[in-house]
Amino acid sequence: MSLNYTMYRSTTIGEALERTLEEFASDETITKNLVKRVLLNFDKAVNTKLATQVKNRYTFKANKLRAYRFCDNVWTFVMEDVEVKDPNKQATKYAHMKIVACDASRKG
Amino acid sequence: MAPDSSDENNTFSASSAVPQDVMTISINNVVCNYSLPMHIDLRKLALNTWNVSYDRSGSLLTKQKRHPGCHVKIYNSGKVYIVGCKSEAASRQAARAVGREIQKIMGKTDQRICLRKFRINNILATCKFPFGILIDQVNRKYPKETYYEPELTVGLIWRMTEPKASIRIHTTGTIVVTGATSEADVSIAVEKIYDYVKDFQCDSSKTARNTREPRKRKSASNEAEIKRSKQKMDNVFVDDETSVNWFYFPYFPFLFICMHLVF
Repeated sequence: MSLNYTMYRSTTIGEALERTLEEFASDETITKNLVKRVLLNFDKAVNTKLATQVKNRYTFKANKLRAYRFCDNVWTFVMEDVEVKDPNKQATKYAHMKIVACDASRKG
Repeated sequence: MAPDSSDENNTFSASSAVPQDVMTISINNVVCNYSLPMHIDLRKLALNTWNVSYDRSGSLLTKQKRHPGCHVKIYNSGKVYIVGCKSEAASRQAARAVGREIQKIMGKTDQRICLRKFRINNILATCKFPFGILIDQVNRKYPKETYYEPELTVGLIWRMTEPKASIRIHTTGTIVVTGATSEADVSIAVEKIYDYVKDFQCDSSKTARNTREPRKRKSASNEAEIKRSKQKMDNVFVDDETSVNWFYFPYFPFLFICMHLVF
């Protein structure tokens, strides 16, 4: 089993999955081992689908890049006055935004 | 000849050398390096600092500072290189600021950390003399100190030993000083060059290359206009007195071709 980023577990869908699995585990419907396997499968599925099937593009245009950091192959950006553009061309503005980006070409 | 203390511009004038005009020397880049007497954990530094880039594959951490604007390279041995400051004082200030940050993050605030072997490696400065310069004559008169290869570089390179600097002299009168180790050296170098070069002054409009408008493509139907433009090209070559411009013909292959067309 190759390692994948586990950061997608903190997304809305990932949290929902985790909560459901916790309920099952506390009811003893499934074993704790199985919970871990399910989450690993989730990671693998999310990573592959995001890389291949999802084609949406969000554009972030900011007035100022306040700070950046690149360490351990992870980029962190702090931007000010950001305009986020939907694929449907709807734009929302935010005063501050922090982006944490992992390398997409490598895993783990 | 003390430099002005204007921090915004970082220029200072060589006013004693020139009678009427005041020439401003603008310092574009100051490169310095020093070493800190401790081993630096680059990863810890990268995680606790902003505007930092640390690639695991190299042992190098790069940082950018906003005030004063510069790029900093830090090695885990403690060596620090700072590039991009606009003055010596700013460079020193940046060096101390970086040293202080490293000291804080490495947790050595109780010890006294000094910047060891702080030295300014290179200062790049530019200056514009208010006259044009006939650089091939300068090259002829001072063959030992100068190097002029028009087919390689546009300017003449003068290697000065006292103070140690490398100076590029252009026909437009622009002087670029590189390799100097202090602002005082830069001003001394510019003054010395002025003394050497002021005998070879010329009107800068004669040496300016862009007196002619750029050639525009004209449609073939407009024959009269084409003939007129060719005659204009013809006239330009005729009335040059100095031997200098003939020397520069290889620079303008399109004019060379035009000459073939005319004759």
